[in-house]
Amino acid sequence: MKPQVVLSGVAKSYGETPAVADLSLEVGDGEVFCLLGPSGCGKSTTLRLIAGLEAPDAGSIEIGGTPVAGGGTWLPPEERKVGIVFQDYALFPHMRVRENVAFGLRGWSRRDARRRVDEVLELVGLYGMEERYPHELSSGQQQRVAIARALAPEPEVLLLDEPFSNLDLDLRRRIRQDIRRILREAGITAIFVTHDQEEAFYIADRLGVMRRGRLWQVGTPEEVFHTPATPFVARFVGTADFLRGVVRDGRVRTALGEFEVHGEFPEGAEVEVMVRPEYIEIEAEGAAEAVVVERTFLGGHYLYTLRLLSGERVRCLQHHDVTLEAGTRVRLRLRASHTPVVFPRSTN
Amino acid sequence: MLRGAAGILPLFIFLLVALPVLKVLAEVAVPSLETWRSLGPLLPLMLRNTLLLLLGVGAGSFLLGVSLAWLTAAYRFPGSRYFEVLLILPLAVPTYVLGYVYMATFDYAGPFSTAARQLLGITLPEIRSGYGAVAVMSLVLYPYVYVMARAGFRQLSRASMDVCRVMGYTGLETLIKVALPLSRPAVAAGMALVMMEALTDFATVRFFNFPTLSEGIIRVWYGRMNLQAAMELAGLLLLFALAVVSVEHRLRGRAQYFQTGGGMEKKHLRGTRGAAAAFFCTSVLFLAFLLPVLQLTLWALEETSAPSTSLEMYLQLLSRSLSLAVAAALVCVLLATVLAGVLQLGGSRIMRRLAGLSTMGYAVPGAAVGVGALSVLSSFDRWLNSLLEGTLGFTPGLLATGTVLGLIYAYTVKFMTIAYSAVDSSMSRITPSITGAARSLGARPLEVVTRIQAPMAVPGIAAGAVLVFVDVMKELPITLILRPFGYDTLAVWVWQMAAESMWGGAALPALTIVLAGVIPVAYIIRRGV
Repeated sequence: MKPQVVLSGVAKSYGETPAVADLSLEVGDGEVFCLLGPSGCGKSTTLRLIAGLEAPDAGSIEIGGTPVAGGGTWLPPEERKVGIVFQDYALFPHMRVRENVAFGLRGWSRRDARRRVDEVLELVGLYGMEERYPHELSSGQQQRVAIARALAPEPEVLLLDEPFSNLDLDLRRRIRQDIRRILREAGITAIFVTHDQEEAFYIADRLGVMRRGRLWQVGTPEEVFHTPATPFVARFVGTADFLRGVVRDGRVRTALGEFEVHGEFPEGAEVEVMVRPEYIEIEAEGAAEAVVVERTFLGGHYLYTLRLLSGERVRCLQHHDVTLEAGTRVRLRLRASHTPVVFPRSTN
Repeated sequence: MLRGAAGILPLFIFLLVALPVLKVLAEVAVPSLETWRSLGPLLPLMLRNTLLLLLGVGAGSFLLGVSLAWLTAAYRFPGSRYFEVLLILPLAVPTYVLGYVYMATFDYAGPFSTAARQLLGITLPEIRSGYGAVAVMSLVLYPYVYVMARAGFRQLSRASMDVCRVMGYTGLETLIKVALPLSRPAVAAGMALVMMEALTDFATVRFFNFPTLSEGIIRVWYGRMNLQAAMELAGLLLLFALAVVSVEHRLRGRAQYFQTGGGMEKKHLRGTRGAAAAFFCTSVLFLAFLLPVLQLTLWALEETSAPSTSLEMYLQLLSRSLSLAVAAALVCVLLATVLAGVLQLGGSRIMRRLAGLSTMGYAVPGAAVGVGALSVLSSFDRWLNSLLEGTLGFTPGLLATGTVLGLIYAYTVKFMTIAYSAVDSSMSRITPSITGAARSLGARPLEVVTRIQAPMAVPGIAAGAVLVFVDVMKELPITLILRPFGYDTLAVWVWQMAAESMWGGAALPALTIVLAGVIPVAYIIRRGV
């Protein structure tokens, strides 16, 4: 897969505050990539740097093999073949849907432009809405106009900034599906920014977790979820509990039992072991004893909070047919398919 | 760079606009007891009357505005859909025009009093009194409260109204316990506008022989040419205005109630109750709008046979008023656009504060703006003359105080606010993401201006210009203080003719002013009452 967008050592600060620091990233052709991170982590700035709405202080950016920023080159946004969908959609309120979508079709013949507008409106499912003004549309429709407008000039890369944050939960689920379909059908390289891991998992082929202007981990959703690079990433992409452990003979001992350690840990090292609720089973034969502290009903599942003999707490996801009252003594074990992820204890 | 130059602009505009106000404020800081003594017993009388006028007009507009707003918002009765809109119309009638019409029609010798005496054998109360002034001003100023209260009521959710109904509240109880407290910020804003207008008026209180501070400023300046005393009075007047602003601020508080609106369900008033509601609305509309317009039209028609204001005279007044209003509107929107534009580029907090301060002129009563500007401009004239005499050996004369330039300057001080808020509200919709979207869709910077920014800003700029235009058309105290000698406008002519009891001569100019006033009312109506 040849890279379509390449960022090398990109940095950008506002005054004293670094927004993006030494960021390197490759996004492949036709790939849907997600920048995931808490607010203020620099993910939107990264998007603006790619779009050319900001200039990097250091590093370089390439789009489709062409250098667009850094090393003395600078391509203004209008020459980058990049489409961008803003959080607030940024539709032009004085133009109809058709005019909004056709805005980027400069130099197209009237007939081609018309056909292209129809085509992208069809793609986003807004055929027949051409003559409406933005304020006459629902927020879900407005967002799809914004996507159609960004796709119309056939950009090489589509950038989406928190595309779902202005929609209510129900609509968000539906639009998420739509967008996944639209991006796949258009076969376009897309980079989108979100703070919601569920969204990222749902849409992205690969994702990068950002914090404080840095990229902490890049990988497929599965990789990031099961083998997070840092405890922060572990917590940010799902529910995680950490158990104290000590390394002995290449194995780590915790209150939940003993596991093999992968990676370089000296004998006697104090470590933290990440376990997710999905990894733990309540099992009569389990290695560790625990007491049920709390049960939360999640629909198809129960989330149990359990206290181990060490006093540490872990959470455990069980099917709805396993009903245990608080105070019940149980035995736990780690599902065999999961190798626990181990971090040195000093990291936060 | 641009940043440096652009940073200076708001400061410059601020100084330009704030100078007259600051100068008047300085007078309060150093009051001269001698001037106050020279005014004799007039000063305490003016202070008392100003306060009474504020309270009276405030109460009157509150009662009329809130009751009419509640009636049309919560009930359906014969004609209610039309009243909703029509009840804003009195806003088009300046206080002094209604004052002059009432002075003529409700006077002892006028048709109403005569009829009441002859047919009913009763004597109507004297219109030329504080009560008369309060009644007249409340009748044309209540729409400010009406419009704001309606906006507040519209935010009431159907659910909260249903809660009241389930708990057995009557309509009036719902208004007092729920609707009014929820709309308090909006109603307070409306009341503040009413009181500012009441403070500005000097002509109605002059007609009705109820001297206030505004009236006093015009009197000492016009009668005695005593700028010092006028400045002192303007300082006191400014204190009243500041009090109004701060009370409004307090009342508005930090409270910003946002409710999911959806409007309330209207209750049907049938039979006598419906008829009573319709009668009430009709009476207000008649007294505040139909009566003056009809009377003015009658006078204007009578005038055609033996005009006391010739057609040439009228046309000259009209062209002067129009050109002053157009010029002031252009200056105001130009400055407002520059100010809003610079702040859009990313202004610091201090710059935003300055912009806020630059627009406080509207809260300052016209007479205070007038004498403040006069004082600033005459200093400027003296400085310019001595500078040019020293360097080039000639004197240009009274460039600022002797020409319409000074007048336009003072209008700008007073009406910048209106232009700024209209311009700013449309320019603030041009967010960075809007321009960013345009750029990434291939628009070059100049194209972003012509295809996106200009078309988006123009409606706001146009609205700002129209609002300033209309306000200048009917403006009186500033015009009286700063106009070049003998330079009459429509408003000045109405005032002079009415003061001479030449009702007919004032009719056509007054009617023209009312007609201009209908423009912003139509604008409010189009945006939805």
